[in-house]
Amino acid sequence: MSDLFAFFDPMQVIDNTGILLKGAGMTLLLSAAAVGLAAVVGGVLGVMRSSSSRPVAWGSRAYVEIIRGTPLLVQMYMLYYGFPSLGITLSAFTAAAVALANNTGAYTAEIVRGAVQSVERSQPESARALGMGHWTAYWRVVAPQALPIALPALVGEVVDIVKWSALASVVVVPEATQVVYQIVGRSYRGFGSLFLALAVFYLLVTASVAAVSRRVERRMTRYRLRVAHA
Amino acid sequence: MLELHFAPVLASLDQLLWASIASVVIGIAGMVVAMVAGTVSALMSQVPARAVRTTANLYVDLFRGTPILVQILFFYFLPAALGVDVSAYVTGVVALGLYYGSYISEIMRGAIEGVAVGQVDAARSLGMPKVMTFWRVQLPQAMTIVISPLAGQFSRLFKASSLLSVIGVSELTLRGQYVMTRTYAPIETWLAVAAIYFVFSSIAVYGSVWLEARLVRGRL
Repeated sequence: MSDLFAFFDPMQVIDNTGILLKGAGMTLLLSAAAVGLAAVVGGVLGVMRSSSSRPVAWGSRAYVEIIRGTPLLVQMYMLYYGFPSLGITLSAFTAAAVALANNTGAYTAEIVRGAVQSVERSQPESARALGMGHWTAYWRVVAPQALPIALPALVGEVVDIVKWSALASVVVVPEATQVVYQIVGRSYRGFGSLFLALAVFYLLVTASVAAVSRRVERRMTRYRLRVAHA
Repeated sequence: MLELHFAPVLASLDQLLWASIASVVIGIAGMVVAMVAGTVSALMSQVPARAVRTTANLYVDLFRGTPILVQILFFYFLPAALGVDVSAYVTGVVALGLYYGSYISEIMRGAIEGVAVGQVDAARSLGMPKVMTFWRVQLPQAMTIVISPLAGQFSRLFKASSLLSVIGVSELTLRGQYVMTRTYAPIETWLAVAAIYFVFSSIAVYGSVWLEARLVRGRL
Protein backbone atom coordinates (compact mmCIF):
# COMPACT_ATOMS: atom_id res chain seq x y z
CA MET A 1 0.00 0.00 0.00
CA SER A 2 2.84 2.38 0.80
CA ASP A 3 4.20 1.62 -2.67
CA LEU A 4 0.99 2.80 -4.19
CA PHE A 5 1.19 5.98 -2.16
CA ALA A 6 4.76 6.58 -3.32
CA PHE A 7 3.57 6.04 -6.89
CA PHE A 8 0.84 8.67 -6.57
CA ASP A 9 2.58 10.88 -4.00
CA PRO A 10 0.96 14.26 -4.69
CA MET A 11 3.78 16.10 -2.91
CA GLN A 12 5.99 15.65 -5.96
CA VAL A 13 3.50 17.72 -7.97
CA ILE A 14 2.93 20.27 -5.19
CA ASP A 15 6.64 20.75 -4.46
CA ASN A 16 7.41 21.23 -8.14
CA THR A 17 4.43 23.45 -8.98
CA GLY A 18 6.68 26.36 -9.91
CA ILE A 19 8.75 24.61 -12.57
CA LEU A 20 5.75 22.61 -13.79
CA LEU A 21 3.81 25.81 -14.45
CA LYS A 22 6.86 27.32 -16.14
CA GLY A 23 7.01 24.25 -18.35
CA ALA A 24 3.32 24.54 -19.13
CA GLY A 25 3.85 28.18 -20.06
CA MET A 26 6.73 27.17 -22.33
CA THR A 27 4.50 24.58 -24.05
CA LEU A 28 1.88 27.26 -24.68
CA LEU A 29 4.47 29.75 -25.93
CA LEU A 30 6.08 27.19 -28.24
CA SER A 31 2.69 26.07 -29.55
CA ALA A 32 1.55 29.65 -30.15
CA ALA A 33 4.75 30.49 -32.04
CA ALA A 34 4.39 27.34 -34.12
CA VAL A 35 0.70 27.99 -34.87
CA GLY A 36 1.50 31.51 -36.11
CA LEU A 37 4.37 30.30 -38.29
CA ALA A 38 2.38 27.31 -39.53
CA ALA A 39 -0.43 29.58 -40.70
CA VAL A 40 2.09 31.47 -42.85
CA VAL A 41 3.80 28.30 -44.16
CA GLY A 42 0.48 26.54 -44.83
CA GLY A 43 -1.08 29.57 -46.48
CA VAL A 44 1.89 30.17 -48.78
CA LEU A 45 2.28 26.48 -49.67
CA GLY A 46 -1.48 26.10 -50.16
CA VAL A 47 -1.64 28.99 -52.61
CA MET A 48 1.51 27.72 -54.38
CA ARG A 49 -0.07 24.27 -54.69
CA SER A 50 -3.05 25.77 -56.56
CA SER A 51 -0.80 27.99 -58.72
CA SER A 52 -1.25 27.86 -62.50
CA SER A 53 2.53 28.01 -62.92
CA ARG A 54 3.78 24.46 -63.44
CA PRO A 55 7.18 24.73 -61.68
CA VAL A 56 5.62 26.46 -58.65
CA ALA A 57 2.81 23.91 -58.35
CA TRP A 58 5.16 20.97 -58.89
CA GLY A 59 7.89 22.29 -56.58
CA SER A 60 5.49 22.97 -53.73
CA ARG A 61 3.87 19.56 -54.22
CA ALA A 62 7.25 17.80 -54.00
CA TYR A 63 8.10 19.76 -50.86
CA VAL A 64 4.80 18.89 -49.20
CA GLU A 65 5.23 15.19 -50.07
CA ILE A 66 8.77 15.08 -48.68
CA ILE A 67 7.82 16.80 -45.43
CA ARG A 68 4.78 14.57 -44.98
CA GLY A 69 6.78 11.44 -45.78
CA THR A 70 9.49 11.90 -43.15
CA PRO A 71 9.36 12.01 -39.32
CA LEU A 72 9.08 15.35 -37.53
CA LEU A 73 11.88 14.32 -35.19
CA VAL A 74 14.27 13.86 -38.15
CA GLN A 75 13.22 17.26 -39.51
CA MET A 76 13.90 18.80 -36.12
CA TYR A 77 17.35 17.18 -35.95
CA MET A 78 18.06 18.49 -39.44
CA LEU A 79 17.33 22.04 -38.29
CA TYR A 80 19.00 21.77 -34.91
CA TYR A 81 22.11 19.74 -35.77
CA GLY A 82 22.36 20.20 -39.54
CA PHE A 83 21.69 23.88 -40.13
CA PRO A 84 24.70 25.12 -38.11
CA SER A 85 26.94 23.72 -40.86
CA LEU A 86 25.05 26.00 -43.28
CA GLY A 87 25.99 28.89 -41.00
CA ILE A 88 22.47 29.04 -39.53
CA THR A 89 22.56 28.27 -35.82
CA LEU A 90 19.14 28.02 -34.23
CA SER A 91 18.32 27.88 -30.55
CA ALA A 92 16.53 24.72 -29.43
CA PHE A 93 13.31 26.70 -29.07
CA THR A 94 13.54 28.22 -32.56
CA ALA A 95 14.51 24.91 -34.16
CA ALA A 96 11.56 23.17 -32.48
CA ALA A 97 9.09 25.94 -33.38
CA VAL A 98 10.23 26.09 -37.01
CA ALA A 99 10.22 22.30 -37.39
CA LEU A 100 6.72 22.07 -35.88
CA ALA A 101 5.40 24.92 -38.02
CA ASN A 102 6.96 23.64 -41.22
CA ASN A 103 5.65 20.10 -40.67
CA THR A 104 2.15 21.29 -39.81
CA GLY A 105 2.27 23.78 -42.67
CA ALA A 106 2.73 20.93 -45.15
CA TYR A 107 -0.47 19.30 -43.86
CA THR A 108 -2.27 22.66 -43.68
CA ALA A 109 -1.36 23.38 -47.31
CA GLU A 110 -3.51 20.43 -48.42
CA ILE A 111 -6.41 21.60 -46.24
CA VAL A 112 -6.13 25.13 -47.64
CA ARG A 113 -5.94 23.85 -51.21
CA GLY A 114 -8.99 21.61 -50.73
CA ALA A 115 -11.02 24.43 -49.18
CA VAL A 116 -10.04 26.93 -51.89
CA GLN A 117 -10.98 24.46 -54.60
CA SER A 118 -14.33 23.78 -52.95
CA VAL A 119 -15.36 27.42 -53.52
CA GLU A 120 -17.18 27.64 -56.83
CA ARG A 121 -15.07 29.11 -59.61
CA SER A 122 -17.86 31.48 -60.56
CA GLN A 123 -17.32 33.29 -57.24
CA PRO A 124 -13.85 34.73 -57.90
CA GLU A 125 -14.72 35.09 -61.58
CA SER A 126 -17.76 37.25 -60.74
CA ALA A 127 -15.67 39.31 -58.36
CA ARG A 128 -13.08 39.85 -61.08
CA ALA A 129 -15.82 40.76 -63.56
CA LEU A 130 -17.07 43.37 -61.12
CA GLY A 131 -13.61 44.95 -61.26
CA MET A 132 -12.00 43.50 -58.09
CA GLY A 133 -8.27 42.87 -58.27
CA HIS A 134 -6.94 39.27 -58.22
CA TRP A 135 -5.79 39.37 -54.59
CA THR A 136 -8.78 41.37 -53.40
CA ALA A 137 -11.10 38.75 -54.91
CA TYR A 138 -9.06 36.06 -53.18
CA TRP A 139 -9.12 37.80 -49.83
CA ARG A 140 -12.66 39.18 -49.84
CA VAL A 141 -14.59 36.52 -51.75
CA VAL A 142 -12.74 33.19 -51.75
CA ALA A 143 -11.15 33.28 -48.28
CA PRO A 144 -14.36 34.03 -46.30
CA GLN A 145 -16.07 31.10 -48.00
CA ALA A 146 -13.12 28.71 -47.80
CA LEU A 147 -12.27 29.38 -44.14
CA PRO A 148 -15.40 27.90 -42.51
CA ILE A 149 -14.94 24.78 -44.66
CA ALA A 150 -11.29 24.43 -43.62
CA LEU A 151 -11.84 25.33 -39.96
CA PRO A 152 -12.52 21.91 -38.39
CA ALA A 153 -9.44 20.43 -40.09
CA LEU A 154 -7.35 23.47 -39.16
CA VAL A 155 -8.36 23.09 -35.51
CA GLY A 156 -7.18 19.50 -35.70
CA GLU A 157 -3.81 20.82 -36.83
CA VAL A 158 -3.63 23.26 -33.88
CA VAL A 159 -4.39 20.39 -31.48
CA ASP A 160 -1.65 18.37 -33.20
CA ILE A 161 0.84 21.22 -32.74
CA VAL A 162 0.16 21.31 -28.99
CA LYS A 163 0.61 17.53 -28.77
CA TRP A 164 3.70 17.34 -30.99
CA SER A 165 5.33 20.30 -29.21
CA ALA A 166 6.33 17.66 -26.63
CA LEU A 167 9.06 16.65 -29.11
CA ALA A 168 10.90 19.85 -28.22
CA SER A 169 11.84 18.12 -24.96
CA VAL A 170 14.20 15.94 -27.02
CA VAL A 171 16.37 18.98 -27.82
CA VAL A 172 15.95 20.05 -24.17
CA VAL A 173 13.50 22.94 -24.50
CA PRO A 174 12.20 23.25 -20.92
CA GLU A 175 8.53 22.69 -21.77
CA ALA A 176 6.01 20.63 -19.79
CA THR A 177 7.15 17.16 -20.91
CA GLN A 178 10.82 18.00 -20.40
CA VAL A 179 10.16 19.26 -16.86
CA VAL A 180 8.30 16.05 -15.92
CA TYR A 181 11.03 13.98 -17.58
CA GLN A 182 13.65 15.66 -15.43
CA ILE A 183 11.71 15.24 -12.18
CA VAL A 184 11.04 11.57 -12.93
CA GLY A 185 14.69 11.12 -13.89
CA ARG A 186 15.70 12.09 -10.35
CA SER A 187 13.15 9.93 -8.54
CA TYR A 188 10.20 7.73 -9.39
CA ARG A 189 8.38 9.06 -6.35
CA GLY A 190 5.05 10.55 -7.41
CA PHE A 191 5.49 9.13 -10.90
CA GLY A 192 1.76 8.49 -11.34
CA SER A 193 0.71 11.93 -10.12
CA LEU A 194 3.25 13.72 -12.32
CA PHE A 195 2.12 11.98 -15.50
CA LEU A 196 -1.51 12.41 -14.52
CA ALA A 197 -0.94 16.16 -14.10
CA LEU A 198 0.85 16.27 -17.45
CA ALA A 199 -1.97 14.40 -19.20
CA VAL A 200 -4.63 16.63 -17.61
CA PHE A 201 -2.69 19.71 -18.74
CA TYR A 202 -2.57 18.55 -22.38
CA LEU A 203 -6.22 17.44 -22.30
CA LEU A 204 -7.25 20.86 -20.92
CA VAL A 205 -5.34 22.71 -23.62
CA THR A 206 -6.64 20.56 -26.49
CA ALA A 207 -10.21 20.71 -25.13
CA SER A 208 -9.98 24.52 -24.84
CA VAL A 209 -8.78 24.78 -28.43
CA ALA A 210 -11.77 22.71 -29.55
CA ALA A 211 -14.18 24.82 -27.46
CA VAL A 212 -12.84 28.11 -28.84
CA SER A 213 -13.03 26.78 -32.38
CA ARG A 214 -16.70 25.86 -31.97
CA ARG A 215 -17.45 29.49 -31.08
CA VAL A 216 -15.38 30.79 -33.99
CA GLU A 217 -17.09 28.41 -36.38
CA ARG A 218 -20.52 29.55 -35.23
CA ARG A 219 -19.48 33.16 -35.74
CA MET A 220 -18.01 32.50 -39.16
CA THR A 221 -21.10 30.75 -40.45
CA ARG A 222 -23.59 33.17 -38.92
CA TYR A 223 -24.53 34.65 -42.29
CA ARG A 224 -24.89 31.24 -43.82
CA LEU A 225 -27.25 30.16 -41.05
CA ARG A 226 -29.45 33.22 -41.46
CA VAL A 227 -29.87 32.44 -45.16
CA ALA A 228 -30.58 28.81 -44.37
CA HIS A 229 -33.36 29.77 -41.96
CA ALA A 230 -34.95 32.29 -44.36
CA MET B 1 28.66 27.77 -50.45
CA LEU B 2 27.85 24.47 -48.90
CA GLU B 3 29.55 21.35 -50.10
CA LEU B 4 27.95 18.08 -49.21
CA HIS B 5 30.21 15.14 -48.54
CA PHE B 6 28.18 11.99 -48.67
CA ALA B 7 31.16 9.60 -48.65
CA PRO B 8 31.40 9.14 -44.85
CA VAL B 9 27.65 8.70 -44.54
CA LEU B 10 27.52 6.32 -47.49
CA ALA B 11 30.21 4.28 -45.76
CA SER B 12 27.74 3.82 -42.89
CA LEU B 13 24.78 3.24 -45.19
CA ASP B 14 24.67 -0.48 -44.39
CA GLN B 15 24.21 0.40 -40.70
CA LEU B 16 21.39 2.77 -41.54
CA LEU B 17 19.70 0.20 -43.77
CA TRP B 18 19.92 -2.50 -41.10
CA ALA B 19 18.47 -0.06 -38.59
CA SER B 20 15.67 0.76 -41.01
CA ILE B 21 14.66 -2.89 -40.97
CA ALA B 22 14.35 -2.59 -37.19
CA SER B 23 12.12 0.45 -37.77
CA VAL B 24 9.94 -1.47 -40.20
CA VAL B 25 9.61 -4.38 -37.75
CA ILE B 26 8.68 -1.93 -34.96
CA GLY B 27 6.19 -0.30 -37.31
CA ILE B 28 4.53 -3.61 -38.18
CA ALA B 29 4.50 -4.82 -34.55
CA GLY B 30 3.07 -1.47 -33.44
CA MET B 31 0.41 -1.68 -36.15
CA VAL B 32 -0.64 -5.15 -34.96
CA VAL B 33 -1.08 -3.82 -31.40
CA ALA B 34 -2.90 -0.76 -32.77
CA MET B 35 -5.28 -2.89 -34.87
CA VAL B 36 -6.12 -5.11 -31.90
CA ALA B 37 -6.59 -2.16 -29.53
CA GLY B 38 -8.56 -0.19 -32.12
CA THR B 39 -10.84 -3.06 -33.10
CA VAL B 40 -11.54 -4.08 -29.50
CA SER B 41 -12.28 -0.48 -28.55
CA ALA B 42 -14.55 -0.02 -31.61
CA LEU B 43 -16.46 -3.20 -30.76
CA MET B 44 -16.74 -2.08 -27.14
CA SER B 45 -18.31 1.18 -28.31
CA GLN B 46 -21.14 -0.89 -29.90
CA VAL B 47 -22.00 -2.79 -26.72
CA PRO B 48 -25.28 -1.78 -25.00
CA ALA B 49 -23.70 -1.81 -21.52
CA ARG B 50 -22.88 1.76 -20.66
CA ALA B 51 -19.79 1.04 -18.56
CA VAL B 52 -18.17 -0.76 -21.50
CA ARG B 53 -18.89 2.09 -23.91
CA THR B 54 -17.59 4.67 -21.41
CA THR B 55 -14.36 2.71 -21.00
CA ALA B 56 -13.86 2.68 -24.78
CA ASN B 57 -14.57 6.42 -25.03
CA LEU B 58 -12.23 7.15 -22.13
CA TYR B 59 -9.45 5.21 -23.83
CA VAL B 60 -9.93 7.06 -27.13
CA ASP B 61 -10.14 10.52 -25.52
CA LEU B 62 -7.19 10.00 -23.19
CA PHE B 63 -4.82 8.53 -25.77
CA ARG B 64 -5.79 10.88 -28.59
CA GLY B 65 -5.73 13.94 -26.37
CA THR B 66 -2.20 13.60 -25.01
CA PRO B 67 1.16 13.62 -26.85
CA ILE B 68 2.54 10.32 -28.05
CA LEU B 69 5.95 11.19 -26.59
CA VAL B 70 4.37 11.54 -23.14
CA GLN B 71 2.82 8.10 -23.56
CA ILE B 72 6.10 6.58 -24.73
CA LEU B 73 7.90 8.03 -21.71
CA PHE B 74 5.11 6.92 -19.37
CA PHE B 75 5.22 3.31 -20.56
CA TYR B 76 9.02 3.38 -20.55
CA PHE B 77 9.28 4.52 -16.93
CA LEU B 78 6.24 2.63 -15.66
CA PRO B 79 7.86 -0.82 -15.18
CA ALA B 80 10.85 0.70 -13.39
CA ALA B 81 8.58 2.80 -11.17
CA LEU B 82 6.70 -0.38 -10.28
CA GLY B 83 9.93 -2.34 -9.89
CA VAL B 84 9.41 -4.66 -12.86
CA ASP B 85 11.81 -5.27 -15.75
CA VAL B 86 10.42 -4.82 -19.26
CA SER B 87 12.54 -3.95 -22.30
CA ALA B 88 12.23 -0.52 -23.90
CA TYR B 89 11.53 -2.26 -27.19
CA VAL B 90 8.35 -3.83 -25.79
CA THR B 91 7.11 -0.72 -23.96
CA GLY B 92 7.82 1.35 -27.08
CA VAL B 93 5.81 -0.93 -29.36
CA VAL B 94 2.94 -1.03 -26.86
CA ALA B 95 2.93 2.79 -26.54
CA LEU B 96 2.91 3.25 -30.33
CA GLY B 97 0.14 0.65 -30.66
CA LEU B 98 -2.08 2.14 -27.97
CA TYR B 99 -1.72 5.70 -29.31
CA TYR B 100 -2.56 4.83 -32.90
CA GLY B 101 -5.14 2.28 -31.70
CA SER B 102 -7.18 5.20 -30.39
CA TYR B 103 -7.27 6.68 -33.91
CA ILE B 104 -7.96 3.30 -35.51
CA SER B 105 -10.85 2.79 -33.08
CA GLU B 106 -12.65 5.72 -34.69
CA ILE B 107 -11.93 4.38 -38.20
CA MET B 108 -13.25 0.94 -37.27
CA ARG B 109 -16.31 2.43 -35.65
CA GLY B 110 -17.06 4.29 -38.85
CA ALA B 111 -16.70 1.06 -40.82
CA ILE B 112 -18.98 -0.91 -38.50
CA GLU B 113 -21.64 1.80 -38.64
CA GLY B 114 -20.97 2.50 -42.31
CA VAL B 115 -22.14 -0.75 -43.89
CA ALA B 116 -25.83 -0.33 -44.69
CA VAL B 117 -28.14 -2.43 -42.52
CA GLY B 118 -30.11 -3.28 -45.67
CA GLN B 119 -27.11 -5.17 -47.02
CA VAL B 120 -27.04 -7.48 -44.00
CA ASP B 121 -30.81 -7.93 -44.05
CA ALA B 122 -30.76 -8.73 -47.76
CA ALA B 123 -28.03 -11.36 -47.33
CA ARG B 124 -29.84 -12.93 -44.37
CA SER B 125 -33.18 -13.03 -46.20
CA LEU B 126 -31.46 -14.75 -49.12
CA GLY B 127 -30.58 -17.51 -46.68
CA MET B 128 -26.93 -16.67 -46.02
CA PRO B 129 -25.79 -17.82 -42.58
CA LYS B 130 -24.62 -15.09 -40.19
CA VAL B 131 -20.95 -16.03 -40.43
CA MET B 132 -21.06 -16.09 -44.22
CA THR B 133 -22.84 -12.73 -44.25
CA PHE B 134 -19.98 -11.31 -42.21
CA TRP B 135 -17.24 -12.71 -44.46
CA ARG B 136 -18.96 -12.21 -47.81
CA VAL B 137 -20.99 -9.04 -47.33
CA GLN B 138 -19.98 -6.99 -44.30
CA LEU B 139 -16.22 -7.47 -44.27
CA PRO B 140 -15.55 -6.76 -47.99
CA GLN B 141 -17.58 -3.58 -47.83
CA ALA B 142 -16.02 -2.45 -44.57
CA MET B 143 -12.54 -3.17 -45.99
CA THR B 144 -13.00 -0.71 -48.83
CA ILE B 145 -13.96 1.95 -46.28
CA VAL B 146 -11.05 1.40 -43.89
CA ILE B 147 -8.11 0.52 -46.12
CA SER B 148 -6.99 4.03 -47.03
CA PRO B 149 -7.37 5.64 -43.56
CA LEU B 150 -5.66 2.60 -42.02
CA ALA B 151 -2.75 2.99 -44.42
CA GLY B 152 -2.59 6.65 -43.39
CA GLN B 153 -2.35 5.64 -39.73
CA PHE B 154 0.29 3.03 -40.52
CA SER B 155 2.40 5.63 -42.30
CA ARG B 156 2.04 7.96 -39.27
CA LEU B 157 2.87 5.14 -36.86
CA PHE B 158 5.94 4.22 -38.89
CA LYS B 159 7.20 7.80 -38.82
CA ALA B 160 6.41 8.06 -35.09
CA SER B 161 8.55 4.96 -34.47
CA SER B 162 11.45 7.44 -34.71
CA LEU B 163 10.42 8.60 -31.22
CA LEU B 164 11.55 5.28 -29.76
CA SER B 165 15.10 6.56 -30.24
CA VAL B 166 14.38 8.76 -27.20
CA ILE B 167 14.05 5.68 -24.95
CA GLY B 168 17.12 4.07 -26.51
CA VAL B 169 15.48 1.55 -28.84
CA SER B 170 17.94 0.76 -31.62
CA GLU B 171 16.20 1.88 -34.80
CA LEU B 172 16.85 4.20 -37.72
CA THR B 173 16.83 7.56 -35.91
CA LEU B 174 19.04 6.38 -33.04
CA ARG B 175 21.47 4.91 -35.58
CA GLY B 176 21.30 8.25 -37.40
CA GLN B 177 22.44 10.04 -34.25
CA TYR B 178 25.29 7.58 -33.90
CA VAL B 179 26.38 8.03 -37.53
CA MET B 180 26.09 11.82 -37.19
CA THR B 181 28.40 12.02 -34.17
CA ARG B 182 30.91 9.73 -35.84
CA THR B 183 31.00 11.33 -39.30
CA TYR B 184 30.58 14.99 -38.25
CA ALA B 185 28.25 15.27 -41.26
CA PRO B 186 24.85 16.14 -39.74
CA ILE B 187 23.16 17.38 -42.93
CA GLU B 188 24.24 14.41 -45.01
CA THR B 189 23.26 11.99 -42.23
CA TRP B 190 19.77 13.38 -41.72
CA LEU B 191 19.20 13.63 -45.48
CA ALA B 192 20.07 9.93 -45.79
CA VAL B 193 17.87 9.01 -42.81
CA ALA B 194 14.98 11.11 -44.16
CA ALA B 195 15.34 9.50 -47.59
CA ILE B 196 15.04 6.01 -46.10
CA TYR B 197 11.95 6.98 -44.09
CA PHE B 198 10.49 8.59 -47.20
CA VAL B 199 10.95 5.45 -49.30
CA PHE B 200 9.26 3.20 -46.74
CA SER B 201 6.35 5.55 -46.01
CA SER B 202 5.82 6.02 -49.77
CA ILE B 203 5.65 2.24 -50.19
CA ALA B 204 2.94 2.15 -47.51
CA VAL B 205 0.95 4.98 -49.10
CA TYR B 206 1.16 3.81 -52.73
CA GLY B 207 0.74 0.18 -51.70
CA SER B 208 -2.56 1.09 -50.09
CA VAL B 209 -3.69 2.96 -53.21
CA TRP B 210 -2.98 -0.16 -55.25
CA LEU B 211 -4.71 -2.40 -52.71
CA GLU B 212 -7.73 -0.15 -52.55
CA ALA B 213 -8.04 -0.13 -56.35
CA ARG B 214 -8.03 -3.94 -56.32
CA LEU B 215 -10.56 -4.19 -53.49
CA VAL B 216 -12.98 -1.65 -54.91
CA ARG B 217 -12.81 -3.39 -58.32
CA GLY B 218 -15.79 -5.60 -57.54
CA ARG B 219 -17.97 -2.62 -56.67
CA LEU B 220 -20.71 -1.31 -58.93
